[in-house]
Amino acid sequence: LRPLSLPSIYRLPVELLQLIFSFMDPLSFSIARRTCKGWYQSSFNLRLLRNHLITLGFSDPSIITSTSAPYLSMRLSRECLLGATQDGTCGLIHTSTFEFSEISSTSCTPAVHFTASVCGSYVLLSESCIVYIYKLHAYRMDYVASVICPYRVLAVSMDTSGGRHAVAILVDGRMGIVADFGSRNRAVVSPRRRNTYKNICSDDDPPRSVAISPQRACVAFGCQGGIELHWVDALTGQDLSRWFPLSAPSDFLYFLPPRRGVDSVKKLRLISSAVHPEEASPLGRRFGLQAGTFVYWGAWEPGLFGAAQSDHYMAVPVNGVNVIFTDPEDGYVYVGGDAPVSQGNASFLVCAVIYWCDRWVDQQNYSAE
Amino acid sequence: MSNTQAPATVKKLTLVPTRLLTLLSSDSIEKKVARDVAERSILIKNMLEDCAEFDQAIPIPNVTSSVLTKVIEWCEHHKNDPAPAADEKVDSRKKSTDIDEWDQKFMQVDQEMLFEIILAANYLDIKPLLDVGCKTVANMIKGKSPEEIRETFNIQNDFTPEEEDQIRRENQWAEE
Repeated sequence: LRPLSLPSIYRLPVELLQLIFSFMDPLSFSIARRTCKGWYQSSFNLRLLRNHLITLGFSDPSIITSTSAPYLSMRLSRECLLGATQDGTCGLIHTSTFEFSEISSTSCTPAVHFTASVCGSYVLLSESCIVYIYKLHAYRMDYVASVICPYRVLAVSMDTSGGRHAVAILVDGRMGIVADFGSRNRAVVSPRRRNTYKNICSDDDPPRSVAISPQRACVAFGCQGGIELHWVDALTGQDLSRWFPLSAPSDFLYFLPPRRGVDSVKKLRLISSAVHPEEASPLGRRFGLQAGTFVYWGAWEPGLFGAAQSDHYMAVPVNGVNVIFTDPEDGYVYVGGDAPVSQGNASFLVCAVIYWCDRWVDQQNYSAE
Repeated sequence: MSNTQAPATVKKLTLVPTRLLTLLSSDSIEKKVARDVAERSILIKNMLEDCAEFDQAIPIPNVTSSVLTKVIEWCEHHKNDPAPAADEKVDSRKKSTDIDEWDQKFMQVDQEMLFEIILAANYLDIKPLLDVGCKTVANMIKGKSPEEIRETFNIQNDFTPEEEDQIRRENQWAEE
């Protein structure tokens, strides 16, 4: 029989572990406490959490004087996730500068549009009829491919989080293009497959947004009256499409990943939202419209889509878990959770997101095998 | 000014610090140590204040002789350090993980000994040594992922996948 021998670090009592944690920077502390259960539980010390939050720059008494260790712990984790560095400073860091003046050939402003892929790994530059795809690295950006389109590019969408390396492009003349790059092992690739969708939506209500599904051969186009979904039938290989009417314009359209433990993997989830009525510039920028030309959109009038019609404006999913959106009531930008609504902690933000995207997507759990 | 008083003063000054105490480690090994060195330990200092005369060996039941030798070595080197900061300034000492060169070298021991020194410093109430030990561990952890930390200290990951997922989602805004 061998005597029980634990590694020496196990002999440290909680207060000594907390003393060690107190000597660490907030980011290292936030990471280290996830080593094991004992460490995680030891980290729930008000004084320790407060001191780390103060190091990160928190001074708001409503936060610092909180007597809830789980709350302070959550604030600290969040802050670290948002980019706290080891010296305790937070925020964005300038890593490199890129020169794009060669791409911009026209004098029309704005000529070049930048779109980050939903997965955050790529950036898409569109200029007139060409889309350039760049891979983002920590300190540089590499050219990957370009797609030449027959008409002016209006919107682009890319999401490799599900392993699909394809870009969906909406161009003038109610046309959509999906260019597939296959697996991304080579440095520079050319599109292997290209699907073209014509006569999307209607003449009276042309498409204004596009979203590519990260997993399936599926693409959605949004317009004022709803969404047109296109997919390839797994059994027949046929291109199928379906129209879903919506009560608010679909200016911002994204696929959401299935929620773990809630949704079947076959379920398609989309989040659609309108641009804020008083914040027309994103659309103007995208379509090259000048102020005063919004008559193009027919029904475009501030106040037309009030709070009664839209739960949120300009919803953009981030990191697969949260959604950034503008609240119609107060006009503030919020970050909401894409989590199942459970009793007790269901905030309006959660409800807004869940209600909107489940209302209609639930109807169409089609099988894509 | 009289020259005859000088030797007496010197004699008086040298007499007090050289008083030797005997410490008895947990494995029953006796260590002779100067009183001012031993008094770096607040535990021993308080003990000596309570008892005017201490002729017997002072038992240190939680510390083995090898660890006690290390601790005495540290106390000897730091016997002339200024008194540690008052308790209310306790947070200011936590701001820096800088360790002076001698201490860094002193702490270059195996993990077993490192944690034994920390535990002994805690038991004997030698705050500056405790800080140096904990800073050394903090520096070993800094910049490592949980997996690397587990490897470094031979720690078992006892989180269930559900718990790991829960912690991962701790940053979720909506849970507020």
